[in-house]
Amino acid sequence: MKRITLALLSAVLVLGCGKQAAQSTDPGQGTASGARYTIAVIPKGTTHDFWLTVKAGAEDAARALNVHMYWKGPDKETEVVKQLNIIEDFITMEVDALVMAACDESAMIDVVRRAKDAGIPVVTIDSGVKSDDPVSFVATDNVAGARAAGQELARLIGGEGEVGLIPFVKGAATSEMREQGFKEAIAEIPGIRLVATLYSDSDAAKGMNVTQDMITANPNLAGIFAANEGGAIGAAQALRADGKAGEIKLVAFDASDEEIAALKEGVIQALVVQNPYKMGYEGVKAAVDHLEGRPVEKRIDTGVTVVSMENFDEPEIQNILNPLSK
Amino acid sequence: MKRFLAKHSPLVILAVLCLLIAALMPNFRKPGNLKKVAYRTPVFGIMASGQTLVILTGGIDLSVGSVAALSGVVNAKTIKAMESRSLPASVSVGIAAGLAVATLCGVLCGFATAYGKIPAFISSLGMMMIARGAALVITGGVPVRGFPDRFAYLGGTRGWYIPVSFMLFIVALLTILLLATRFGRAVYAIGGNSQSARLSGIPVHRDRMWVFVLCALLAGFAGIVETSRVDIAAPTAAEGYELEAVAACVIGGASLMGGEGTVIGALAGTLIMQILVNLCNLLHIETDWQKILVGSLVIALVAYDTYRKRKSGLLKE
Repeated sequence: MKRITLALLSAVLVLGCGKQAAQSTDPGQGTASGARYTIAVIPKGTTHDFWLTVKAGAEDAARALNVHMYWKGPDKETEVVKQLNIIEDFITMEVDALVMAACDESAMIDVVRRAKDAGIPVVTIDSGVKSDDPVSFVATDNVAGARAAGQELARLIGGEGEVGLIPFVKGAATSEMREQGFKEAIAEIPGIRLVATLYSDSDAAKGMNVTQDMITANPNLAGIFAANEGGAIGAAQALRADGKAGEIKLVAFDASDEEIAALKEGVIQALVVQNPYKMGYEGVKAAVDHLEGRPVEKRIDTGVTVVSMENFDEPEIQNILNPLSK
Repeated sequence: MKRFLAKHSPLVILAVLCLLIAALMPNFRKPGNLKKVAYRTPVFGIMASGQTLVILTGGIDLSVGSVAALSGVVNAKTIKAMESRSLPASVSVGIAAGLAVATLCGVLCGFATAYGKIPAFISSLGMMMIARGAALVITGGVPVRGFPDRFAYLGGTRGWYIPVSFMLFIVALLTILLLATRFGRAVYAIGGNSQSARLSGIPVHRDRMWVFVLCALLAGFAGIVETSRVDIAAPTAAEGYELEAVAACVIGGASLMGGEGTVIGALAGTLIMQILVNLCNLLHIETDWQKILVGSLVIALVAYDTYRKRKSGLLKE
């Protein structure tokens, strides 16, 4: 009797789990009856403003193009395996196309190939994969963006001094490209020396710790470049806690509420702002174009804008900063 | 003397480590740096103190990281909700709400383990997922930010001694609880041999449940301290902290078989781990190598500790 109960219990558990996995694919608000295609959009993380803005763009495109959209991603950008499983499940579900930001440029090569083999075209957004299989790559030119950040930081510290770099995850394509772009810009200016590179893991607490250690190890530090939101929030909090706000110049990628607040407060001097809304929108649009046989460019650059208090109030800048209020 | 060294090897290792580093690295002994290490420690120290109780009974609590995140998020949401209605005492009520949710997690996990006879590894693993999921549901995945100014004191960015005092107070309280009360002796007895503990009249189930409740309560408090320090409550915060807490306890001389270990040891273990990471950053050792280094040191320290205890006959074969 006991054994039967146990068997039943485990059966229920297994079924329960399976059901949960299928349900948690939350349909986007762009759902319309009689949608022409079903497209899955897979971000790298779901908890940052950046991805919520990508979502808003993707939803608007889905609505405009009459597409049924799924939105599902791992909680954190470091969860490579979780993302892999999510993509595999969508291949099993036979969606019409995948729009994804790869948590890891190498680990996702194989699954993208399998999607293609199954007849599901893949468009990568923000973070690509190291292969030719995706139909298109819709993203910021991160090298160019980070180069702009490096030049801005150089200008802020008067062309000479020691600087530190806070990338987010080693091996992630976006992180590596921003590292490269920043280093290129710094290398062109003889008076500036890069003295420390520490990773934030896209986590504010970790970002705060490494920034403080960086300041301790390099007492003459004049400027810091934080390559994404998590690192920037941590770095800003570290500068506040150490009373170094304004003294050590901070340039950061992205523009979350917290980062904008830090910009207004004077802790961050400049933000390099991408256009995540455009990534979501153009990503879904590229997938639909491909499905309908229209030619799609292999690389679509969504551009960056350097925002400081000098140009903050311009309407054009406000539009880029607050796409969610549109 | 030999016996003292063997019993307190974590403290000895910590002292030697600190002296050595302080002698070799001027950067490390700067008051600014020591302050930062000091206010980074409470989050893990408080968590590890609670974890010690569970480990002493022969259990393990894998949910502490998630419970900390959930508590931080509930605390943050409550503060925000009350602030927007300009109600008084929002910070106190927020902290209380966070602690209450954490305690609830501990009650559930403890009940399942003590009365439901589910292995602690499994019940706390389940609670780890439940609490993480709850934190994500409550926030819709979006970090909560923008707290009133007075909330910042708890985390130590306005004075490192505030969270450090809380931590030392908790360590002292738990040490007294373990050494001078009936409950404390019962905790050691349950971990030593739960059968004979039961036969000698100790309420094994009840006490086993209590250690989970205390552990979760402290994890919840750690989560609130972390929220205050970073000034943001992310549903994905404190991921992996459970293993750091367990590692700290073990470095501090606790045995995962139960019945052996001290809260002071866990505090020493936490400090050793924090100092190692700080040191790696100051020495420009890359993040990847830090992980290898810290992992190896955890194993080496515990191996050394075990060897020492066996030699001095303190370890049961």
